[in-house]
Amino acid sequence: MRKRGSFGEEVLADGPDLEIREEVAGQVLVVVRGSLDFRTAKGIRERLTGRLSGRAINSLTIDMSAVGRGDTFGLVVLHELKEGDWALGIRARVVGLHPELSRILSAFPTDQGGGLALEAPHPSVAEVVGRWSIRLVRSAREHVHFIGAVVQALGQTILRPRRMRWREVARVFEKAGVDALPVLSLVSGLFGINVALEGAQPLARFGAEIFTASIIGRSVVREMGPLLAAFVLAGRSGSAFAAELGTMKVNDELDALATMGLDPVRFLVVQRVLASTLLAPLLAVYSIAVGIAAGVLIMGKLGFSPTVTWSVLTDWVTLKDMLLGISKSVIFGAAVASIGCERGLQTENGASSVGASATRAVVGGIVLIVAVDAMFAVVAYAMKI
Amino acid sequence: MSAFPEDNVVQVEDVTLGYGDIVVQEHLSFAVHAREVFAILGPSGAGKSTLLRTMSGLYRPRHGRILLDGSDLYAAEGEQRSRLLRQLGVTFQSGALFGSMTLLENVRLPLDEFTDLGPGERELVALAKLNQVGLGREGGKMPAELSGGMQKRAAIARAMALDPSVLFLDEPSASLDPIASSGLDRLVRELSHELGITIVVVTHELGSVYAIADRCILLDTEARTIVAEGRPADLRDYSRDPRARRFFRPELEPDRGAIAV
Repeated sequence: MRKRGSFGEEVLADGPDLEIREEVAGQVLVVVRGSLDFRTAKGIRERLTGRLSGRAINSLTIDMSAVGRGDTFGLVVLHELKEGDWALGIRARVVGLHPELSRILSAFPTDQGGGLALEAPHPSVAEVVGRWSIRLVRSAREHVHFIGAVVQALGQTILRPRRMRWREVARVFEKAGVDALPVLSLVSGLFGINVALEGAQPLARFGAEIFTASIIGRSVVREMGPLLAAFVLAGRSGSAFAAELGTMKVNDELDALATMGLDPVRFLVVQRVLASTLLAPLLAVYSIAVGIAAGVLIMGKLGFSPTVTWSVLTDWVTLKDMLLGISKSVIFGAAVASIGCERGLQTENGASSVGASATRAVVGGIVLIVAVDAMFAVVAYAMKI
Repeated sequence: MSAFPEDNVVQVEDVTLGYGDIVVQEHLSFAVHAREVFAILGPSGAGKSTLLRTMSGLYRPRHGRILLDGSDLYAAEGEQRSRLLRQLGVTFQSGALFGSMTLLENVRLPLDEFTDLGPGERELVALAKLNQVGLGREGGKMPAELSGGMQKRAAIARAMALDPSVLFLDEPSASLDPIASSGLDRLVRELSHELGITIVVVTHELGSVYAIADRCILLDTEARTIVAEGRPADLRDYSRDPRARRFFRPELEPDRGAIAV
């Protein structure tokens, strides 16, 4: 048996491995010698096209009887010649091919069959828009349905608290809450510093530098504290929920629950949504505290004592602002957890879809957070809160 | 558990299975008798696991009925359905143990959810189930700490937690080494003989079929229905159906090379 694909050490000299004869005008015979494999194929292809292009050719015969080595990559050239794929436009006749190589050659797809099914033609814009709209409506309906199921399961759990897996709630509290404090401290602190520095400069022009404190207070309490806490929750825990439930789906664990007559929403989702909903306002308060502390620190560097800063700050920030920030963070927490769990349950088969679900959970979570925040802003403006 | 050996514990009546526009199997009708080991055989892609999942309440069939002790599994709702489901134990190809719980917690879970036993008693029952599958000492371990064979045994213990009348096993000995695989075959036989559990098993391993199954059906991919039914050894020795012969006696088939020249 001859060795296919072995690395011939001979360097291709231009000539001995390829001979092109034209004994009768228009009838070309190509004799290939040596090897036709992944090393030689490119050179042979280039020289063949170079020498044959522009000629008037009626018939093309490829004599392969002197080829001792070949592999699938080399035979691509032969296949293309045979199928008339090159500019020459005629189908070459292959003679003298070793049976082993001819088995490889016969496995290539031909016009007669063996090729890939033709791709569907590009859908029209209307079709694409239509499909997207249908998908959007379906997804919204599924989400509403899911939220309904969560609320129902939550209700049942409140009526029969013994059935709740409280240990799981505690685990989520620790993982999504306590473990999130370092990163939340970092981003909230940096944000407080940023606002103080950015605010101080323009206000200094009007001699109103002290009012930087009011900007810090309002922006951190009403917006950034709850938002940063929610973003951290979405990035750390929304994705984790999706990945956890997605892995369970892929491992048939959700089906195992279903055959036991256990509802995955009651068994897995409620704990996460409840923990996250209770957690988000706590994280928001923490984020607000760190942000303000950092702001006060910078104000100190600018020459304002903490007492002065604090009195201006409390002048501008009321209990209402605090309640607004906390109440929206409750909604953020519920939204982030429910979208994370929903994406997890929607995971399709295969390990790669778990990653996709985690991504979709984070993206969905961030979009929901910003959308809810915008609604709060509109309502707060209208009600002059 | 049913009292008479000839009782039909599970009846499949003219069932059609499919995904989307594709019909995988149709006109499936057969009955599983009490206390037997019943195998669902067929080549990959024939819909064996889909049939098992349909029989165990996970996928509603396109057409037809699944009767469990005479009650229609998919017509039942609410508490009645949940009661029916509790008569079934199911294991999956992957084992599907809950990764965040120990083996003991896995097995105890159905007891926690569906029984009024006290915590000590639940633990006792769970340990007994683990002992039945030979894992009594491993109760404190997490699923990831176990070999594939042990995970499948643990999954069987969990499926048996509520003393089901039927166990559905999806490829219990697949992707295991020969020793672990024959160990599982032995376990399946013991459960059936010593505890009188009715077992429905999906497999494509012939060795395991002869070792454990009392009766079997053979699904065919092209015919999209059952092409043979009976005792595995009888089908091997006497079946005249070419598809059954191809499945049970592959050595008699003329060699068809992978590459058609």
